[in-house]
Amino acid sequence: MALIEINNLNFAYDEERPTLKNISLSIEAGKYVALIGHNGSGKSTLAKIIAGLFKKVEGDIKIFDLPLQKENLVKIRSQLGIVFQNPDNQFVASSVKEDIAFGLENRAIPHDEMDPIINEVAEEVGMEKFLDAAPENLSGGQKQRVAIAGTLAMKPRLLLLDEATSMLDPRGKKEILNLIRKMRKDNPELTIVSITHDVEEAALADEVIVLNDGEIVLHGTPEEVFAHRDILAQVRLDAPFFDSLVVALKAEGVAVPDDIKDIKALEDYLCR
Amino acid sequence: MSSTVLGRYVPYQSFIHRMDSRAKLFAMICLMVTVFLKQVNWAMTFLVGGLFLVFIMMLLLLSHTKITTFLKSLRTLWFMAIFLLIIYILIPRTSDWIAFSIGTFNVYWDSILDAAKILVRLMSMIALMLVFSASTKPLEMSDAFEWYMSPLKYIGFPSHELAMILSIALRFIPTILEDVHRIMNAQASRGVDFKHGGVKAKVRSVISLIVPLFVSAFMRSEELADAMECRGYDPKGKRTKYRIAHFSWRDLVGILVAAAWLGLVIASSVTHFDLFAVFGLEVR
Ligand SMILES: Nc1ncnc2c1ncn2[C@@H]1O[C@H](COP(=O)(O)OP(=O)(O)O)[C@@H](O)[C@H]1O
Ligand SMILES: [Mg+2]
Repeated sequence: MALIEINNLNFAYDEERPTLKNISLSIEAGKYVALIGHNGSGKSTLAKIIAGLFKKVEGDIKIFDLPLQKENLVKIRSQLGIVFQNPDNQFVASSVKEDIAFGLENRAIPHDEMDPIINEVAEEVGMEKFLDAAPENLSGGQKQRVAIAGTLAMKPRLLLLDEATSMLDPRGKKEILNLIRKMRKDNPELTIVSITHDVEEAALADEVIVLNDGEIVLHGTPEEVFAHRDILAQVRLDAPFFDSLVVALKAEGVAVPDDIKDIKALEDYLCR
Repeated sequence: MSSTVLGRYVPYQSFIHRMDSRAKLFAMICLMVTVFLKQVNWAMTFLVGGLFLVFIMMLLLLSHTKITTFLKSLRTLWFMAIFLLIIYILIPRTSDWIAFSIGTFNVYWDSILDAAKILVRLMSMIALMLVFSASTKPLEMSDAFEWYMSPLKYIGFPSHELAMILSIALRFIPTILEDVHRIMNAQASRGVDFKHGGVKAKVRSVISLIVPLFVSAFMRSEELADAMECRGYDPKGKRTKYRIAHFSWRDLVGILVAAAWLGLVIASSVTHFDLFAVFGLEVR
């Protein structure tokens, strides 16, 4: 079953300039999908449309098999979590546990059930020691982990990450990527759509969607997508280091077998 | 942030800290009212005022506010004290209680004591506010506010929304202050001088701070609104509360003590009670 089903989506902030043009895509449950594209290509807009933040959207959108309409919005949002780019601008409360509780309060979860859930998700993201900490005393990576914990508390089926790592230092970035890896292992049913600038991160995904000026230009597995160096160059994206290396080696006449998927295997193969 | 008149929260687990903010606010207001009640004569006024000041000093100690914080917030009062004294001395009076005379101009004790009375009142108020703000997290204050305003919900007053706005504003103070520093540094590196220069240069440098600050604040608020909506926030919908304050014996004690003091002071005020007369002392 497709978790997200979009057909002929068109969207414009102002009439003159369409932001998203004729988007059709389908994302299966349990997949980890990376959405890449340069600045202003419409990635955030697409994420916000999926989260139901815009009213005037043209096209057929079904999330969890429910048409994206006002009457389904509460139901859809209750199964969907979204983490935005700026760690500060989504931290609502004055402490970690209260921020995680915010979503629970909104769902009218009884008070006595909150603490067990908070403790569980805080542990899941490794923030159990900081439950009382104030946001100003946390690093960006820690704040993003709290934001993820806040979404996990709602037991979502779909997690949207809109450049959740782009404002973090390398260490914070690594923390989040490790966390995503762990969440996927713990909960294979969770669908993750990660918007990212980082092609190395995109290379870890099951599927990559490349957006350019509001249009989908590529959609496939990372190997398929990153093999299209010409198109990627056109839309001002680099292939990840590994893929570029393989393409360059092939151009030099080195026959790299297709089952080599990472830098370590490539190294072993070349040194053999 | 340097010390402000209102003081800051002092993390500690004292009796006062552990009181429910609603009960605490109620007790504080009771105590504040006593400061303004009139007593029968000067001696009683200063006896009650002095006792009260001693009592609040004890509260200050109990809430682990540093006495130096209190003294610092009193600094601004010196100027006021002298100002008040001059005003009161200049107000013409008919009294026979002359302190001293300068030529034909009489300075009355009443004037000096009036100024002193106001000063004691101000000191009491400041100390009370310090106790309250040192022992109550800003968020608890906004909870207390929401609770006291909640009956107004039924006539359409947005008490929950206001409390939410208040708590978000409190949450974003450190973030916005960080913005201020960041922008000031950025503008300083572009040659804006925040310290020197005339009025015109000052205005220009402040504008160079305010404009980006507003832009950033609006962007933040837009993103925050999106994030809150995605997390299912609906101010009109049914919500539960995570932070629940519990009424405890401490609150009862606090309210009883404050109410008892209020009762005593009111009683002594309306009955024109004079403790000194009871002991046969003639006082003014
Ligand atoms: N709130 C808005 N109002 C008007 N135009 C917007 C708004 N947000 C984004 N845009 C425009 O829509 C386009 C896509 O933006 P966005 O979805 O944020 O791109 P991305 O996330 O890929 O960087 C950009 O040209 C941007 O200027
Ligand atoms: Mg974006």
